Amino acid sequence: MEVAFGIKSNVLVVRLTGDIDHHSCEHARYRTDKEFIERRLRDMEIDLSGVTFMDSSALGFVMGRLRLVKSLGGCLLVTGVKKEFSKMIKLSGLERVVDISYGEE
Amino acid sequence: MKNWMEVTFPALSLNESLARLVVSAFVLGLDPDVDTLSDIKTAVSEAVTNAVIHGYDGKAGDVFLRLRSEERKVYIEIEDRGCGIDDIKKAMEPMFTTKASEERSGLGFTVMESFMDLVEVESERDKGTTVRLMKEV
Repeated sequence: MEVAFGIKSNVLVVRLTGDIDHHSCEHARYRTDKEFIERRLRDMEIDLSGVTFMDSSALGFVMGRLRLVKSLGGCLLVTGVKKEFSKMIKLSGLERVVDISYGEE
Repeated sequence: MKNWMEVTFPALSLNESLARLVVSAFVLGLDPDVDTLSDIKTAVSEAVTNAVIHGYDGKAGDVFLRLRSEERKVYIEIEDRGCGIDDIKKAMEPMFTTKASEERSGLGFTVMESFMDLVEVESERDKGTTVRLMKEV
């Protein structure tokens, strides 16, 4: 999995591409938190439009970032979720606590 | 037609993707639809991850992945010889995790149960855990 960062109107955009599993999450979460804290931003967007596979580790990743962002008083957005992963997202109940938008595919 | 295979690999997180690739290659022979293949890969990823992080918890050990197909039914077994699960019922509850600090969502078994037609877990303390999955493709 690749992790790329961008900033869009004061929001840290974390773009994940490839397969998200327990193995690839480890380094993504370290890099994301470092970037977010060092840049002193409040809000974060996790862009999943380039994701080719995800298991429940991806849910853990989102929940962990949600905790971090909220602790600093910010908002978390999850964007570009492909149709094939909506079943996973729905299972987690994440939609009740995070703003999630689904991508075209 | 019946088909089967077995692979053994060390309990390294790196091998979670290997297990998915092996399963995909095996199931592709049955010409599944995209969603079914994705469901199977996801369930296997959950079970192998559990073996790596819970069964062995960073210690060395082997994970056994056994695949079998009979007509349109795919049977998958993921076995570890790690610490075992004391309370299987509790472990399978949604959101239950012993590794919250490592950001585990506690949804591994929930995902397996909703993505597969059948999930069975057999476990014994200090002997290990076997997860059996079945799905009709």
